[in-house]
Amino acid sequence: MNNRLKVLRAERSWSQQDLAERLGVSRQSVNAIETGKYDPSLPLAFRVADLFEMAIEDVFQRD
Amino acid sequence: MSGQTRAAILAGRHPLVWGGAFGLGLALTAWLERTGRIDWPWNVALIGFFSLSLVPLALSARNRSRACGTASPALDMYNRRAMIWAFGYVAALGLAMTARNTWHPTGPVLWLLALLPSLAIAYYVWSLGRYLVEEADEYLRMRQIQAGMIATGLLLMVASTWGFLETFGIAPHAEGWWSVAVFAIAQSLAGIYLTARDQRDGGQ
Repeated sequence: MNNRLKVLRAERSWSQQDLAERLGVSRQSVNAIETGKYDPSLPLAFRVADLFEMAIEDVFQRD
Repeated sequence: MSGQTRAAILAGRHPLVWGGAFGLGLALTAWLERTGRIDWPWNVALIGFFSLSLVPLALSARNRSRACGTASPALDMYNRRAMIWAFGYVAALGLAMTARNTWHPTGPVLWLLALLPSLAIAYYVWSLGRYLVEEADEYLRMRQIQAGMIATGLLLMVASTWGFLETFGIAPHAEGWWSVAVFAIAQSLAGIYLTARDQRDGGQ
């Protein structure tokens, strides 16, 4: 699964730590999702999409 | 956390150094006892002394997880429980050995004394499961499960290989309680491997 986390984060000048704190997860989790090493669960993916005020499919896409 | 603070923590002593000191201390005590160089109460005193390394072990593990971005309230609680079971284990072992050597009990009392250190191990197993329940960060939870799987695999390998060496008369007998130490060390090694993998794959 691909995602636009890094771009969306850069647009807001957020560090991984900033995003992690907003999501209530560890920085390592953000890094793992961003680099495509870990696909988040649906609830977490929705939380990410809600935070960026976007539809989930605009943040996460199929390979 | 500033970059300088983070670098200073990462450059400090790794938790495995303290864990290794504790493990080597236990192994040294067992060897001294087995070869007849020391007996009770010196074995208990030595185990108590080497247990002091658990304090810097817990502190460095906590600081390192914060520096690596893998800290969480559940992990802090898990580390606190790890201290409780480790000290509880040493205290129960010391108490059981002291009572055995002082009063030379037999029958049910001897059974109870022999089982006393297992209570701390039961608490350890419970704390492992409790962490998985309490951890709200799904990625950290998955990492802990992976570390547990790796540690279980390493324990199976070490225990069965040692057993075969023992069967063929090559290695001396090892008591079953060593399995806890092997599992704890293997779990720490797995954690180091997973953190290194994360950093290699783009961790900041």
